[in-house]
This record gives sequence, structure tokens and C-alpha cells, in this order.
Amino acid sequence: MRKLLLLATMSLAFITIANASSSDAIEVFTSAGNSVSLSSAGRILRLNMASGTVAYDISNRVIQVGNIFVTYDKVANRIIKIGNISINYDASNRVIKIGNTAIAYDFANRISKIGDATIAYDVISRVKNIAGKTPDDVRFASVPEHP
Amino acid sequence: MRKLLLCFVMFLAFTIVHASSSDAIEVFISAGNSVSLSTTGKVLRLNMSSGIVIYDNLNRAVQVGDVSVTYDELSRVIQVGNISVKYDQSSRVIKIDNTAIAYDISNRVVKIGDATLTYDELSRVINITGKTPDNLRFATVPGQT
Repeated sequence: MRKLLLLATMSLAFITIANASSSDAIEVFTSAGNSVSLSSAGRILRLNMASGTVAYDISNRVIQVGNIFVTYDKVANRIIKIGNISINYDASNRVIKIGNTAIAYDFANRISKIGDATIAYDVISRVKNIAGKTPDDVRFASVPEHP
Repeated sequence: MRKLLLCFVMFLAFTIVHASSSDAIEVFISAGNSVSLSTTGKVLRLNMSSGIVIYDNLNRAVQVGDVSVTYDELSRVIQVGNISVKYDQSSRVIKIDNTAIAYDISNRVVKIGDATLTYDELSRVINITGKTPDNLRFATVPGQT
């Protein structure tokens, strides 16, 4: 019975963490009304665009959005720069700083702070509130209908 | 030869379905918040600066910040605040507020108002000429083929 409970708890924790970390993102505004949504692991999840070109490299990575260039590191294939905005990571490969904006995570690896804005989730990991306000060039991006 | 043709048709069908499943039109609402709608009127993403999100018992976002989201009986978004969303007979979004949305033969979004979208041979968006209205943007998963 205890093993079953442990298994169920581990499964739930795994699902929650995997789900939260795989789809939630930090949106970075670039220029001309365009933005890039980054996963907490530094991958581009979405482009949101008003105008301009998109260029890809031979690895199918976005390297230009409008007049802004996207730069990747050579080791982990993470984005390290969008235009003149630097992206920094912690030892767990999570985005912890975008430009001057700090990003923090909770115990379930969910984004819990973007600058001064604090993000709260309900019991099934759906975002339910952002207290305060994210900086003008950064937003929180979420898939609303988590399973 | 017929098998090859069948494979090609199946691939084409997959490409069409695939293209329509993740591309979206982002609607800015208020307080720096926006909702990305799939071409079939589902909420794919919330992009938020601040405020609350409320869900109904079908797990749909019904309030984002101070703006209410309304659905029809097919669970399509029909109203985001005072912005209405209209559909064609194929259940594709064709109008958001006063902005017309158009599609090409592969069911890809090719126009949002006066902005025209161009894709490469892998169905990746490569250019948007003109500019979408201030409250709308095109949202896509990049590099998707």
C-alpha cells in the first residue's frame, strides 16, 4: 500500500513538473511588435509576430525575427541572446535572467516570478493569478488547458 | 505508382492538419494580456503581464485579467471582452473584431487584415508583409514542418 502511494506521488510529481516545464514560457518582446516565447530551458516555443521576416538555419532553428538576430550556445543549443537581450541560465539549465529581469521557479519547477510579478497556480498547475506586473518587454505565456 | 501517390496525398493531408493545429491569432485584450486563438477558435495560449485567470468546469479559461471569454456550444471562443470572433462553415476563424482572416489552399493563415503571410516549402512562416492591426498578431511554432 505504501509502495502504491509512493508510486502515485512520484507519478503525480513527475507529471506536474514535466507538464509545467514543457509548456509554460517567458515571452520576450523584440522589436516592431514581434516577440519570442522561450521555454524555461531556453527553447523557442512560439513566435508572435506583427510583421517582418523569419530566417532559419540548417538545423531548423530560428536565427532571425524581423530585424533581430537570435544566437544559440554551441553546447546545449540554448538561446543566449535575442538582439541585445542576454539570456542567462542556472546549473539546471533553466532560464534565470532575461536582460535585467530575474526569473524564479517554485518547488515544482514552475515559473513563480518574473521580475516583480509573482505567479500563482491552482492545485492542478493552472495559472490562476499574476500579482504585480511583469516588465514591459517580458510576459508569462501559458497553455491554459492543462490536463 | 498509385501507392506513391497515396503516400503523397497522406503526407499533404498531414501537413494541412499539422499547419492548422498550432498556428494561431493572438488577440490583445487589456492590461498587457493576450489570448492566442487557434484557427478553430480554441485558446492555445495565454500571454500575461498581470491579473487573474478563471476556468470553468470544462477547464476553459473564462476570465483573463478583467476580460471575460465567451464560448459557443462547440466550445469555440466567440467573444473576448468586447471583441467578437466569427467563423466560416469549416469552423475556421474568419473575422476578429473588424479584422478579416484569410487562408490558403493548405489551410494556412495567409492574411490578417492588411498583413500578408508567406511560407516556405516546409510550411514555415518566412515573412509577414505589411503589419497586423495593433490588437492582433500571428502566432506560430517556429521551424514546424
